[in-house]
Amino acid sequence: MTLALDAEPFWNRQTQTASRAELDAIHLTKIRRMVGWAYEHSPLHRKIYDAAGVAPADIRTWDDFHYRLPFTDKPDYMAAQKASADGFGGVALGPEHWQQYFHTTGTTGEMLNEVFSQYEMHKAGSQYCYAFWDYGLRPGDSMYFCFNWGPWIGLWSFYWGARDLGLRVISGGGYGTEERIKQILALKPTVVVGTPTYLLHLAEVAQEKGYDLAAAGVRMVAGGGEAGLSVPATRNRISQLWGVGDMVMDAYGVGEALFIGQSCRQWGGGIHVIEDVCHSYVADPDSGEPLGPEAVGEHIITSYTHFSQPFIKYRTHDLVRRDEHPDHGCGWTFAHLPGVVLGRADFMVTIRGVNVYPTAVENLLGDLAGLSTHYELHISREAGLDRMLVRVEAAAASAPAELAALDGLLNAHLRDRIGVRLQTEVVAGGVLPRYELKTKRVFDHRAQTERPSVTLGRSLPVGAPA
Amino acid sequence: MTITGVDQLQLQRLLDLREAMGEERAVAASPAIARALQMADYYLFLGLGYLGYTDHLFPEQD
Repeated sequence: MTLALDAEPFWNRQTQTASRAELDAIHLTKIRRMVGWAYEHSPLHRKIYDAAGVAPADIRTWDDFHYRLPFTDKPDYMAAQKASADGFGGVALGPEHWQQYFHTTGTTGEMLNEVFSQYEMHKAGSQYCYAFWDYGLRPGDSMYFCFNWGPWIGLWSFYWGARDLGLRVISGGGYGTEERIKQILALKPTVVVGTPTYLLHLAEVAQEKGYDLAAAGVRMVAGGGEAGLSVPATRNRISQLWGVGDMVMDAYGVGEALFIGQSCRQWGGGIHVIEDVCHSYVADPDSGEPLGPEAVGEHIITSYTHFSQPFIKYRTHDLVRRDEHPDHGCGWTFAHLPGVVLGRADFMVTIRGVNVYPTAVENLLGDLAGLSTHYELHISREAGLDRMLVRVEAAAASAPAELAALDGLLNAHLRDRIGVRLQTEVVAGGVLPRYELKTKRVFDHRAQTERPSVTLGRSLPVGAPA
Repeated sequence: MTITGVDQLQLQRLLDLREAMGEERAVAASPAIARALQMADYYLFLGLGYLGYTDHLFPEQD
């Protein structure tokens, strides 16, 4: 790296600050090529496109993309996987190109098998470099991984990013929490990476056992897999415990598609879509209509990173809002998702006519000083109506009267801010489980038939409104 | 010292390619491109090693 480039604020200014029109023109070209590649090489995609009566040459405009090209969804890949001889669905490159295996951790109970080529792993890792560079990381810095290198792609992709930038990787694999604290104190990494819950847990254990984590001089913490690092209360708590100020980096990924959005250092309350490697838009979960910038809808992505198993116009079931002209001061023109994932299309809860997004509840928990950042949301159906139970650990209180008083405050606060009454329960500290991998915070106890029927379907009718 | 059977012309072409990549890296338009060329150099250097190249032992020795 030359000295001039070392001072350059953008990892790849050419695209990272390009105009919306330029970015969209590149997207349309890439999408057309991806559709052609998938049609020619993936039996699954050819089957889906043939069934919809659409050929790659038909996709010439954004209207063609939005209204003629079918959506794809995880069940398409699962069905192809079950029917395949090799156990993989939707593949477009042969096993001689497959370099690593993963599977989704997902919320649906079935595992989707994923394969990646060497180029794809490099390309996936490159997504992190935009943020790493923005936060001031340079070759010579180091990254400590609180991760046992299992089959969850999340922190593996962080690792690829570290390699792509030229950072020194320090593995915390195979160690317990206290051993990791000792390693961090001894090796003084620049960055510690983990899930938000685990970063909190590590810092809390350090406090309890009398270790001074500040002595490690960690400059930055980073992670993903959960909403925490873009939930202000959790983010602030982690920042405070680690003493890293604004050096908290969030990542949101859709593992199977190798889509990994990144927060910038200015943050702006969410993450940027890395538009060099993927396209994303927001659609109405019921009709499939593309939605405008202020609307919350289902996040639909097309990956330019995964060619051995293409994901084109793929339904994530995540509810997001997409800002195409972010102006929070970072200078990136890549689209921004404020609040990151606001909920799941299949977790949507309607209480007395009010749509309640889990993330909205999560954000409000941080308003009450007596509560910790450990919580669970339980969705159920009683007498034909949706219910949400919010269980939160108290920060310090443990006496029943104190917990009851906090519960009353929480219940009133949620009702004031959301407009409907939720069920609440404040429990003593340490009651809720801690996880190293993605923490499950939202539990949907409704039967499949009681959940929202999201009918977005394969495609809108040909000739639908332009 | 050359190894019998090594294609010296290919070795020279790869060395020329490496020199050209180094020149591009020096004027790279962004840190992303500079780093991509640096990683490409690592891969290319593996190829030089397979051809018996000994003037440098590793890419960073330049």
